[in-house]
Amino acid sequence: MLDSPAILGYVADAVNSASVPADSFQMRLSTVTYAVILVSVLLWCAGIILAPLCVAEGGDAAVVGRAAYQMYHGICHQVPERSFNLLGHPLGVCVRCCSIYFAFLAGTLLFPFLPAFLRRTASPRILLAAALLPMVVDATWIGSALYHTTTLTRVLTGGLFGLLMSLALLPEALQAVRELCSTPHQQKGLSDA
Amino acid sequence: MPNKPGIVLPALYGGIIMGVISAVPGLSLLNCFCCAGIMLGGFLAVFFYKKDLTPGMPLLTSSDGVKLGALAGVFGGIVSVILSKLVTMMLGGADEQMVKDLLESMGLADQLPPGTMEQIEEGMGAGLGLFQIVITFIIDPLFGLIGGLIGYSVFKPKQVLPTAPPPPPPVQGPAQQ
Repeated sequence: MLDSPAILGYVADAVNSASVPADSFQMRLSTVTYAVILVSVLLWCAGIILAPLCVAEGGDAAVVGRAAYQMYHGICHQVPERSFNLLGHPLGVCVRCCSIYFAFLAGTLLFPFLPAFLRRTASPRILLAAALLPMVVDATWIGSALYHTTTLTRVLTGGLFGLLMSLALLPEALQAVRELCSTPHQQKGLSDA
Repeated sequence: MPNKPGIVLPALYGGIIMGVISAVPGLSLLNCFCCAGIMLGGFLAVFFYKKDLTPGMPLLTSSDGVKLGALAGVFGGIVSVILSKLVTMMLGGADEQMVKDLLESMGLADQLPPGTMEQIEEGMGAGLGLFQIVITFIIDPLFGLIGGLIGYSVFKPKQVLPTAPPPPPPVQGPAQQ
């Protein structure tokens, strides 16, 4: 599927410097990078769901589940009351983190199919600000002072953050790998673009 | 053209900030906000690097952001593991009490959902096992890299659009009679 010319063209074109002609090596590199990012995000999100499933299964699987919970513990408070439940156990991360990661996955999946003008014109600075502001308001005392924060507000603000982050960061990540893998001569061309 | 500045020092500064945030009790709660502390380290590494760039040097590139963020994550992991061990040795269980007192003095302890305080105590009392050290060295460079990319997105030089070339001078033809 990744060798399909349509996907190759989309992903290579998605690298923000559309003015630089992408040769077949660069197109393939962009596709492989995109695939690696997609699989990594997919595995990360799968771990969030697998943690409660493994613990509910019991036996040896429970050990894997507990390891997954411990892995996500460093990046999330994992408060059960603030988490979605699966088979009576909370997911690996809280509602807000879940929304962020699954929206990031959705953004990564959608990225090659976005209209080209959207990918080229969207400024990462504006995207980041638009992503961060609602979540900061919702997660801090500002949100509590203005309205009652609920699971829905956490899902919406976290989801928006994850989605916009993927759209802001994916072109930069693809561009970075192209720069890292190019020769100094090609690098100059890429950075000039 | 002068060479680019080294990436080790800015990454080290970012890593130290990352490690301190991750290891100091209370401050480490910032990482519950989608690894904000770790991403901040990567972001700041790009900021420090950008400050070292002088006019005439090659521009900041996205690969610089990735390298700085990931390297800051490696330094941050080392600093946080060492500092966490030191904090555990020095404070014992006092850090849990400190966070509880802090939350109570701010009046937040009653507002937290039931089970939250127990979760915090459990998390802080768990110590730093080998598994957590391994996870630290995966998570920190990964989220540091994302922080570095965010830093690049914020600090990247604005693209100068090529201006249209001036129109060619009119061709002098033979004078009409």
